[in-house]
Amino acid sequence: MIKKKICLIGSYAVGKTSLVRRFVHSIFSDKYHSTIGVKVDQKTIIVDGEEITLLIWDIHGEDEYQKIQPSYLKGSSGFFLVIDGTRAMTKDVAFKLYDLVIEKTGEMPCEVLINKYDLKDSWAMYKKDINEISKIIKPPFFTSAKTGENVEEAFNSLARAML
Amino acid sequence: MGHEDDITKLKNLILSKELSELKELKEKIDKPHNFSKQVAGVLPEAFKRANSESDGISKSMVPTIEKTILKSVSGNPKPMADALFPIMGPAIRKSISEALKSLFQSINKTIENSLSWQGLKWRLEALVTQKSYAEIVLAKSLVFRVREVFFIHTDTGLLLKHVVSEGVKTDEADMVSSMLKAIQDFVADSFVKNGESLLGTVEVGDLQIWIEQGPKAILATVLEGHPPEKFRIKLREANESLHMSFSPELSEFNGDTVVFDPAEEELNDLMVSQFKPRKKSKGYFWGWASIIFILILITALIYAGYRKKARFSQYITTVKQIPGVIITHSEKHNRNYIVEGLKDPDAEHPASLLGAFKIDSTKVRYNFKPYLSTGNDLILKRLHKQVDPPSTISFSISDGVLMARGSSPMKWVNENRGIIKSMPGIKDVDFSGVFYEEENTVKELITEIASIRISFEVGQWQLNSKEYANLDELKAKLDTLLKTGEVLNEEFTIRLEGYSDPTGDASYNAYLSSRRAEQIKSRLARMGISENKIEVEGMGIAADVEQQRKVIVKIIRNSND
Repeated sequence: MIKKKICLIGSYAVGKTSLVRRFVHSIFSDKYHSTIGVKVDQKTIIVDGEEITLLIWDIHGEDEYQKIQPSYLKGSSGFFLVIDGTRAMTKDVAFKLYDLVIEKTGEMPCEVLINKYDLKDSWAMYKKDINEISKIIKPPFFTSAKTGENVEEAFNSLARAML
Repeated sequence: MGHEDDITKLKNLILSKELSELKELKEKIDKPHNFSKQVAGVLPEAFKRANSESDGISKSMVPTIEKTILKSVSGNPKPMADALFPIMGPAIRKSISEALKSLFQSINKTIENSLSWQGLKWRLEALVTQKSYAEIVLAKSLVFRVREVFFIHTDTGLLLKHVVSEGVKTDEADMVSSMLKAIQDFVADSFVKNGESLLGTVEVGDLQIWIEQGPKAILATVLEGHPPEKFRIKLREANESLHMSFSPELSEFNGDTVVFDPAEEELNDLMVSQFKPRKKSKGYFWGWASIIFILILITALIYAGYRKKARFSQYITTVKQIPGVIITHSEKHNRNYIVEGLKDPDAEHPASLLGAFKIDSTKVRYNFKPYLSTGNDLILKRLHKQVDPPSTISFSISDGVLMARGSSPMKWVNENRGIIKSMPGIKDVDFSGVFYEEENTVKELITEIASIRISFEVGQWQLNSKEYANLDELKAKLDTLLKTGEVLNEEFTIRLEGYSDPTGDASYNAYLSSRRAEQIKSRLARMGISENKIEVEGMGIAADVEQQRKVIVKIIRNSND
């Protein structure tokens, strides 16, 4: 059986935890986020006929008061970078985090998720932002924790890239 | 060319001795027979030396020896079996005796635990806490036990191998492993400066997690109880050994855990447990004391049950003797008794006897159908209830004939004779043995009336008014007498005798005495006494002074017989 550690990172309140909640097996309380800054969930998927168990380290969001612990990134085989589609500044945080990850762990598979896609009224990601993300990192998935849109797809894509 | 020949010649000249020796040596090496002879000579010394300097030789010999043994056994196992027999025999015996010993120990322990005072206490605790008895025994007699061992990859926190003791859930081990690693990282980042001493122990409720951190792998054990400190050394040694065995696999780990399956054996060696030593003699004493106590208790219970049953059957025997009660069926049902049958409404209820047999009345249910008993006792009971006989009369029944004894007012007999005769079970009645109380009344009245004297003045037959009260008394007594006579079905004749005194002549006195009697007759007739019941006679001169100038009343009984 193949097991992989992946990380879920992004700015504060971009909806990382809600994004995975519906898709993963969880036994730990959310309070670990505020205490040790990380919570591990599990998801098993099948990619190209191979079963792969993902241990998802949902790392507490970065803001000006709390930095993510770099040691949590160690040993990851891939990561999700989550951006809040309604807050433009979360994109800049994402670029910063991306650099941090590459610096700490080296190049590895990554998927960018622009979340809260269901909140189209307050949408703040424009074409130039998308282009910038696509150019610097890679073309993003537009996801919604509310509708579940594109979440499974993002998991499958990252898993395939890691194998 | 000639120049070379010269050199050869020179060589032979100078080195002839060395060359012949060299040739000899070459011969020894080139010919296998010769060479092996030479090697055989030095081999024992060579092995001895190699063994004393390092264990390289024994390591390199292992595959050869294994192959050799395999080949030998697959070809003909007998020589190997023969060779091993002297070793295997005792080894097998020892192993069997050990197994039996441990079996006896576990049986002893079970008996001890189930029968000792402590065992009973634990059973009670199991009952109260809703835990299984086995859990309580384990918790109480365990010094420590390893529940789970996690073999974790240091870099990724991924679980490489996981072994658990029986009954422990395993499906969340991957997440637990990663989370443990996350907590390790958190502690390392937050509190540890040089990364030297990482989190070694985590306490979670009754459980402890001991973590042995290595450069490439972490061993985490979940423990119950109080493990000894030397277990940490065992843990460290195991982790070192695993690092050695799986060095390349740990370095090149890519998420495929299959390569770590062989680690299971080493991890299983860590699944140890230790029990508290037990004080034997005391345990046995309490064990036997408990057995005896339980036996006494059981005997007492059986005896109590038997006594109860015996009492109930005695009770039923007695109930069967109650007149008007017929028991058709009695049984013990669960903890209650059921009594079924027929009961005369006038019969005594069997429940009234329960107290005498010390039977709890709430435990007995009666199911009686009513019926009229023709038993004599019940007939008499019914008779008493229906006609309320005077206490002075008593009855007996013989062949359906009710015989009465004693005394009774005739009035009661007359009123109730018909009712009694029509009662079930009574064919005829016989009151011949009864003295009727009215008889007395009649006798008394006759005496009283006979003592009444109605007096007249000298020569007079007219009644003096002074005698009216006397006459009234007579009248009342006569009324009572006649009335009582009616009850007794008896008639009376009232005889009035008139008397005179001796003065004057005899014929006048006869006339006078007759007129006096007539006078009373007509007076009584006017007061309501029937005339034809009265007869009068003038008796003339009374010889007795007491009777002179008087009218005397005599009652004559007209017997019906």
